[in-house]
Amino acid sequence: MSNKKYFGYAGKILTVDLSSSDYVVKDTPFDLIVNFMGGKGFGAKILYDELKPGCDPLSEENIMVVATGPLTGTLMPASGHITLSTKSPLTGIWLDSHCAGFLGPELKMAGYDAIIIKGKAKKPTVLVIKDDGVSFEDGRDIWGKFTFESQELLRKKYGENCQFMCIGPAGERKARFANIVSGGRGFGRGGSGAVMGSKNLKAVVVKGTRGIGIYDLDGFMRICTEAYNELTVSPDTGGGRPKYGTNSIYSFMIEAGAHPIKNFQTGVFKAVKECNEDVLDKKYYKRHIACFSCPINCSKASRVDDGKYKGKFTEGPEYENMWSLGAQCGNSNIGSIIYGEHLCDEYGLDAISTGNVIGFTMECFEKGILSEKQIGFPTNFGNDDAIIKFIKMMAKGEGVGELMSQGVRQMSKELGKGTEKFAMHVKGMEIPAYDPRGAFGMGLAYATSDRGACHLRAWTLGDEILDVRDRMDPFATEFKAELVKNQQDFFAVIQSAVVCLFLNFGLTQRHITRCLQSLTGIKEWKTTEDILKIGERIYNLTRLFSMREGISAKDDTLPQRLLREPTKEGPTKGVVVDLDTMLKEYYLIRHWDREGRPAKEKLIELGLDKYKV
Amino acid sequence: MPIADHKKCTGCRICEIICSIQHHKEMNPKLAMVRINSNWPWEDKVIICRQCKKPKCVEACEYEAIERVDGCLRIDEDKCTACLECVKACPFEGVVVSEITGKPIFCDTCNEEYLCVKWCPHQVLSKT
Amino acid sequence: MKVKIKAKFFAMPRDYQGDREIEMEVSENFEEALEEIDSRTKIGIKEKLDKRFVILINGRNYRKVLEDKGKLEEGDNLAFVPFLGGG
Repeated sequence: MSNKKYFGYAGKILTVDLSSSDYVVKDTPFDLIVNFMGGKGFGAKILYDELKPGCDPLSEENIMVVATGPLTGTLMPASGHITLSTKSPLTGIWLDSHCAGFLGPELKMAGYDAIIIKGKAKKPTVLVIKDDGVSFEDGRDIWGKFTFESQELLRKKYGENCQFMCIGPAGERKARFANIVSGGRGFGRGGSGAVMGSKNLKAVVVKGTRGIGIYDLDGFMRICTEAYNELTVSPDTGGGRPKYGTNSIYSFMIEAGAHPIKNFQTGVFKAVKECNEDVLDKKYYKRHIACFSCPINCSKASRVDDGKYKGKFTEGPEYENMWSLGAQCGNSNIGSIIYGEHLCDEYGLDAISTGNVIGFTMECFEKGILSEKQIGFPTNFGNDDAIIKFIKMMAKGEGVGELMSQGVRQMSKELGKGTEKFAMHVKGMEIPAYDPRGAFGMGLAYATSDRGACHLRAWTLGDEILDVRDRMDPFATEFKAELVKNQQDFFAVIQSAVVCLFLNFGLTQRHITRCLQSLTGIKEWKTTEDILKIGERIYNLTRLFSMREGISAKDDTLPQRLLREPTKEGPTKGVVVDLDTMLKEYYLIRHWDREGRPAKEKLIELGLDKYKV
Repeated sequence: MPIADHKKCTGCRICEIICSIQHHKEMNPKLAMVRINSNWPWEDKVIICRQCKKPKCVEACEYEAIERVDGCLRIDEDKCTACLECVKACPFEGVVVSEITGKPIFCDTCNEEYLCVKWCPHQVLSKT
Repeated sequence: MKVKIKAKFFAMPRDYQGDREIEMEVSENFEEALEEIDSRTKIGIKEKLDKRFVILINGRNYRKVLEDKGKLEEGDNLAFVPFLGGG
């Protein structure tokens, strides 16, 4: 039985207070739907309204908004996503984190567009949601256990076809970039696992049996059919991605100098000959895995068949982690990357930040800033044993691992000695697997991303390097501001819809708009412009949120290494990012003032005028 | 009859979604007559009735709750006690059990149209 | 005049071709060079260029490079890259 009030939505929001073991269920307000759509949009609106400014992200005052969107759990391709919004313990600002797989559809089918999680449980707790039934159960028996083992035990207890959100030992001890795991996927970035840990919430179990209603069945089926066909013919979603997963671009990114090597010291990675997507495909990928309703199956199950990591496996390794535990650490041993990724998931650490911090630590060691005595073992670039040790140390908070698990910003602050120049983060979030010196747009994307350095708020490389229209030059500043702004707004729509960003590589904005229209029948969403306006509204509101937490224009920047320190060799030899030019233009296009504050007129236009800058 | 080549299955569940749309005009995999059973990360298995000529499930049912209507097996929910002997009897692991009723659901072949077969992106399902 | 170039293949073009890179001598005239490369590889330049993949000469879009220098030069790197998204 589906909700007939609003098509495409479950129609209810569940608010849970862990402090009092109490909950309320309310109708999803229509103005929230129309203006903020779902997912990230719901998170932005609810957190801005309800979160106490300046609160400690790891205190019981922090709130987690776990939200689906209208397209989640539908026939729309790649609709298995779900969004978590909170104040990040890693950055102290806005965080939205996204998880693929099957959790989103399950939550919606349990009858909820979102769960708002408040307070702090007195003892380790498992929140169990089965349709109308909501209960707070004792989680002490699985506290301390790995994520995969915990999920196995929960499955035995609560039934085969449940979906989970679960933290591991790293989240329990509030490591600043702990993640939340769901099946083989996770809410990766920004430390949402630490927030869950601070609330004594070990896991959420979800099971639902309700359906999702469709406004215009024929129209919806038509657009879905078209979307599936488009995805099949795209060179990306119908070619490279199904075969190689997200690693389809791996070799090329190295060729283009856009793959950072050894903590962004160079753009040259000679080991690419034995460490690349072809080797992964032939030697390690055992089968393809898809998320809910996704024909692309970018995910792979990998296993190591020989050598010192024999028998280790992971769902992955994805492009980002091939970098973070690979080239970032000068490491080309794929077995160790597979094992490392598995360990990150098992302990509950974000593998991007994990690898970034390890690369930083290795550079500190090679520069003599951290000694072998301080660390306990030698950690030159390329030392795969050290990578594995570091992951465990960070998860458990052992030795130097405790400092490392606070993130690269905090680590460089404590170490001093000029390390802030090569602490590769923006606003406290570790930079992922693209070097902006190989494509300037990514520099602006990182500097203006609302959750700190992130490649999923704008991903400019396609347009900059593989541009068919012949307009862009990766090493120029022209057109980049417009590109980044437009992508940020559109990606905010996708992240509120909530579907997978990879649809972007096969579908157009028109497909998403038409799909939303036929599914929901919401009259206010007539054109693509209407939809993009929602994205712009959300992006401005997350900006206001972070400004309220203390960021300003001076934080919209990049590490010194990218701005002042050109690489000495390779395809980007001699290049540094000209951020200022792009940033000025970006503020202008966004109608933000020189301090990076959204202008009054812009806020009025977006219906955000009641929010103060 | 639909045959599944499990090795090709990626576990995307498009078959479940399209089945629920076809039969219930809404998206609800829990109502589907086809089911994906996942053994992460190594295997996803398609559970679907093959419409056997001499069905073991019918033989195994003490309550005569499984009957053939218009060529397809169907469960009589009034007679069914959810003992699930049919699940054990099926040599093809082809009996889907509803998570809502706890009773089996049999594929009705969409009047031989098999939308799950049509929509499967990887040709896991085929009809013979 | 003939020039020595390096053709590098990425993702699907590499999959069709089977090699990561090959060195070959081709005409400095780009059109002619393309025909020569097409006849000696399995990637299907005629039907797929600008539809499935693009050619980057020394990391830059081939059309832009040709605008600047008009022809291929000794030692040029030609990368055959499909239109791909990130990860």
